[in-house]
Amino acid sequence: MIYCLSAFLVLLLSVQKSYSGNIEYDGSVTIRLQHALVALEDPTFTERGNVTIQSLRLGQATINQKPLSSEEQLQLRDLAAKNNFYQIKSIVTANDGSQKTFLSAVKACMLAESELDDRLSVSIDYMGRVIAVALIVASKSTCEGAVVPLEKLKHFTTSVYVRHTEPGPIPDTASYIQKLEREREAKEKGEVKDNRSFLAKYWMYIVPLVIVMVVSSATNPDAQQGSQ
Amino acid sequence: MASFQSIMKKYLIILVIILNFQILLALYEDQVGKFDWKRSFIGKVKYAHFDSGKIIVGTEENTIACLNSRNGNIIWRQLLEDPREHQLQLLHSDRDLLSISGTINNWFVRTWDHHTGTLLSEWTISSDKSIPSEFTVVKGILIHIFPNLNSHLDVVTYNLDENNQKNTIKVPAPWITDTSNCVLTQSYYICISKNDISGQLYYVDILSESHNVHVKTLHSILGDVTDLIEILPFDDILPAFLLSSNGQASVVHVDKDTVNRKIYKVMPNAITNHNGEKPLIYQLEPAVHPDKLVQIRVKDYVTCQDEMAIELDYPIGLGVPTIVATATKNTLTDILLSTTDNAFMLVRLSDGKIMWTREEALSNIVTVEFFELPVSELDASIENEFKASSSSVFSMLSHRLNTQAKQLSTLIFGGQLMSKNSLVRDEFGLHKLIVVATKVGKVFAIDTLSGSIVWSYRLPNVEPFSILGEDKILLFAQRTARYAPLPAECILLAKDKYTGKGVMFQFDPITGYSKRGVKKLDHRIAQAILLPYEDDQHLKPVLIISSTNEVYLHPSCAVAEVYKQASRLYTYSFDEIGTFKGFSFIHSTKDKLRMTPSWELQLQPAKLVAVKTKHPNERVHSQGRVLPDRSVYYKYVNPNLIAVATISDDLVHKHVLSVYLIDGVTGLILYATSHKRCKGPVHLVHSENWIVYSYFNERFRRTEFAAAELYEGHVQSNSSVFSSYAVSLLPHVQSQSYILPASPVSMTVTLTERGITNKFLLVGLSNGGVIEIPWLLLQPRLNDLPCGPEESCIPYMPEIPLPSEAVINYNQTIGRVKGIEVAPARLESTSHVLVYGLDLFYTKVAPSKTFDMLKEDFDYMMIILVLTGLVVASYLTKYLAAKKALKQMWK
Amino acid sequence: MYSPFFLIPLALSLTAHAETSVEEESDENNRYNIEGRIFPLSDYQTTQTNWQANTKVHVNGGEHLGFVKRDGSFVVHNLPAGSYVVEVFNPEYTFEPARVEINSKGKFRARKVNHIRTSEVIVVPYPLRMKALGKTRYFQVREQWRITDLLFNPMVMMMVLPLLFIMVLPKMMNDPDTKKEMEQIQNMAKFELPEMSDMVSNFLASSTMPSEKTEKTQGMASKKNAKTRKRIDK
Repeated sequence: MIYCLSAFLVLLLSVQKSYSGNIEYDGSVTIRLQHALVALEDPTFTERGNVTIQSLRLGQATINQKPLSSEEQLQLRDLAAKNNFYQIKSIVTANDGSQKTFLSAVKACMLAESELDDRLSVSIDYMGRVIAVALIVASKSTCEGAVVPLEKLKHFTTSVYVRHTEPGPIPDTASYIQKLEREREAKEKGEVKDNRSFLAKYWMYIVPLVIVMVVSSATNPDAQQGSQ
Repeated sequence: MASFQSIMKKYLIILVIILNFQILLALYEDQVGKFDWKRSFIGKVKYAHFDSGKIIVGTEENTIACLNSRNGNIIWRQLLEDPREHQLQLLHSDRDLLSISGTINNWFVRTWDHHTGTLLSEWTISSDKSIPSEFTVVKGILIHIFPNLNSHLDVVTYNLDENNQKNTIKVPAPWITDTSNCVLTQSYYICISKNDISGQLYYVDILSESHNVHVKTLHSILGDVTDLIEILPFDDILPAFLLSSNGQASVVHVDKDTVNRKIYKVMPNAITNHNGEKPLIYQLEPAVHPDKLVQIRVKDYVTCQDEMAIELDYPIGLGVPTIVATATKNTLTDILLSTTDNAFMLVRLSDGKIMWTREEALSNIVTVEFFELPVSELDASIENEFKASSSSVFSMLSHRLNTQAKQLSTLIFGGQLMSKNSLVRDEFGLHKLIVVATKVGKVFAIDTLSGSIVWSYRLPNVEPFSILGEDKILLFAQRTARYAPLPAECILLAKDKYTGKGVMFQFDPITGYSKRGVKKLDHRIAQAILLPYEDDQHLKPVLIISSTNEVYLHPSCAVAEVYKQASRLYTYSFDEIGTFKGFSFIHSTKDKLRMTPSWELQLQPAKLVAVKTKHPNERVHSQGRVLPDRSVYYKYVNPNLIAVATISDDLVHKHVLSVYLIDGVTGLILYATSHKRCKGPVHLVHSENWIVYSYFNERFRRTEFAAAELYEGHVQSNSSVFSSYAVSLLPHVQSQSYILPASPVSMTVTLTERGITNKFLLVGLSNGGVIEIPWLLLQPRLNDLPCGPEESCIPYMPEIPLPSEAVINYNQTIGRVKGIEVAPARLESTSHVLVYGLDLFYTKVAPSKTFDMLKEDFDYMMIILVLTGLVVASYLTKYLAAKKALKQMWK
Repeated sequence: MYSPFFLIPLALSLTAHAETSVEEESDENNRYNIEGRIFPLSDYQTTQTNWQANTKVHVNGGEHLGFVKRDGSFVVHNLPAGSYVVEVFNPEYTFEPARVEINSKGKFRARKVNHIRTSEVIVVPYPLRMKALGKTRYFQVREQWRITDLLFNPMVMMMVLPLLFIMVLPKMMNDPDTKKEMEQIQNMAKFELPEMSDMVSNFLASSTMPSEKTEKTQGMASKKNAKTRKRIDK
């Protein structure tokens, strides 16, 4: 379990690092997190906390979340026991004041089993606009309801990952042209050398020859004996 | 020249590489037409003329064609510009064929050779006005009229005989109030001011010098009429039109300042024919005879006496006909009919026989589904034997004897031959039935072996849904023909043309029989899904989500069954502005399914252009890719993955294409990529653990392909059960892009029964060819790993080679390819392919060659000869050896 | 409408470099026509009497269309300034596409399409002259079974030749003259000739031609070898 969690972490970070170099935009966003702790068709969301991402490019975030009250803890445990969803609503305010609301849900039992260790994945498009905020719990398997002791459901240990849109691949013409050029040069220098070994090249002539020799040497002994 | 050589050389190298890998598969010339067929169409007929034994037609698909009047076959066909923007405005058959087609303010005037369809001349007309205009040709003069409401007519005339000399006229006409109340007949522009008897009739001869406007009251022409009056065009020698009221119409002729009304009444769809012995009027009427539907009434043009009324053997499935053109030659009169379901037919008088019918509805297919055929009666009876458990021993024995007797008789008397022509399943699933739904609302079933129409059914007043600018009718196979004696069941969902509410049609895809007929739903359909669960009748329920997010289930009795699975059921919805929503059914009850939103993401301001999920029947055979070092690189195969492409307008980069891979259950974006200065059209293909999409790169002005492949890594996180919620690792994404030296119009990927066979991309190109590109050619090469024949990896080439041998429809150009549909055969190596557009083309492809079948040219004789030869030789040598041994002994 | 044409002979096609990634600003008001002519192959008339009607000119993948007149000429009307790829399609023949650039002043330039080196300019004459490259091959040629294919297969030769020697050589030995000759040879080679298997292993190990001292045997061997070669050359 620990292995896969750390792998997950490393991967997210590595994605961030490799693309932060050529990102043209930057900005900060604030995310207001609300959660629903009672499973209803039309859930009521209560405040969970705030996340401020100072720099989208660097992905630095400050997370400000209250510990759960005992009533909320009970509700969450109930949610986990009944195998319901834990829903969050994130209200994202960008630099320019524009607001977008996103929804996301995880299995409550998974959140409880991980002892409120969740991850917030903030996806942004090529311009640095937030397009998705998703809550995930790192785990190798799911659960169908779980009862977790209340004291473990107190503090959220949330990590925030800013996930950039990678620039798409471009057809690699330069190296292909170079390759063609090299081949052309090689051709100009002379025929391409066949560097297979002698045997590899002419085995089909050698083998019958050898067989013939062996066969003839096998038939020869009496002739040799006769001459002696 | 040198560079051309280098290009050729380059292709040669590529070809050699491909040949080495044996992935290039082409047809042999003698295979042409053996298992493929093509049907050509022209579209709904708009204009038709007879021309010496041939029929010249212009259609709503912006196509002109010449048909053989004896059998309706196409002699030649010319596809003009895209019918979504350009429409045919005029087709005039004179010495040459003149066509005018274009947009609202830009037209192409072309003349064509009648016999070959070769272009004779072409020029353009453009205008700065964007109002509907009309064209007509009178005595070699092309008249182009712009009616400006309540003001004047702008008229431009072109003298076709004198080098298109242009002349502009302005005719004051403040009496034009509504262009639907006006007709243009020869050089007269005629309007009525009101649709009742108090209205006035205004007309003006455009070609006259003075442009005198004549006014007559409708009362003075028609007398006392209380009903609404409509003005309709009427083709005659003299300038004429129809005034119709209450289903009856009067022919009115205008000539300078006189207006003459014929004393008799005709049907509004009447047409005159002047090239017989005497001028006649033809009109269609409902038949008197109860078994017949339609009759043609022939009237004398002068006296209006009934000449005859001929009842037609009008087929039941066709829509309401109208007469398009008539011609008389000797004693035979040909009448061309066009129907509301786009069929086009020729009726020959005087016996009223329908000579041929063209089902032009097939020129605009919106949805295709392949269906397996039922087993033969004999096989079904064998299966029944095991089901009938209640019957007695003796009856079972007699049943058994009966079946075996039948089996014996088929074996001896060649029942196989008979079943070839009937709709019976074959061993390899190579014989299937294609059910297509067309835009006009007609459903056809087509036999894959012959390409003939098995049955058709017309759904009145329906239209397709529009999903991301694409017309779609939903077609779901609820039950296949596998469960004999239960018939196969299929459900079709479309939209009512007038109310916009849902229309449901449940039918047996093999016979076309429908128990309940067309059912109108009382809600709009936002989405529909075929659920993977079967009820006790082996029927898969269809879940329909209304526009108000109400959930309906068909059959509704399956609620309990679905409720059991409700906690594992998710769906998503999207709109064009880029809001994606995920829903769960966790709050459903035992008798009502309820949908609750679970995630939401917003891609605005980008516009959605493509959304693709994997084919529900797709199977992934291999879990990973074996690397040269013998380790396995596991594929990330997430069945809930949605591939989404968006295009956003950008100030700096003009257009930016973004592609996202979204998990449909959690709403997590697994992969996001963007291509700057790239625009549509975007074609997206999503299969196994990869996506391929095509787009136009504005920077380099070329079409590019990009492929992205997802891997879990060297460890598989959970090999038995996949859950979208268990996110332990994000997939590794490998991507690479390529140049396609052609313009794709449609793209799909082959599908085989078990997914063992290699995958081919089938790409429909703008030139009417469908080309197969092996996925191996596009599969992203892993960085820092060798790539060569030993690794079964083709070295990276930026430009995808498109050899002509890879064109699956060889020289059979397909007009305006719109879509390609594939279905697996029961033979693992083979996929059925139907390409549709203006034409229909069906073939079978085998991406890894037909490894599971003997070659068709397999030499049975040779094998037999060799084997018998060997046996004989061995006995002979045995005998000879014995003889020799005996001799040796005696020595 | 179009610029006075600058006809450059094909053989002297000029090469120039230009920044092509910058699109010209198109002026909506001016419309231009692309003109050209299609040169059929000489066997056109015999196979397709009506090739003009079956040949289509597509500009930018069918965005604009051109139809071919009887004399093979075509005009694509109503194009704003910009860069266009002109392709000619015929079910039987393949044509090379061309890129036509129309600048905002109405100047035309035609060049070869090169998607890989987009900046390379090889000018072709305008009005376009589209020549068929050749007949399009859609079909694979069926492999025909020929006796020679079987005989010259190295595997078969490997099996057949030794067999031949086994059968023929003993027959030759029976001939008294040859027998004498052979004996002579063997007597001469008796001293130099090492054990046959030794020689083979030496030969394989060295991977080079046998050395001078086995000249005689080698002579025989090379004779056989030459025989083999000759068969292969056939």
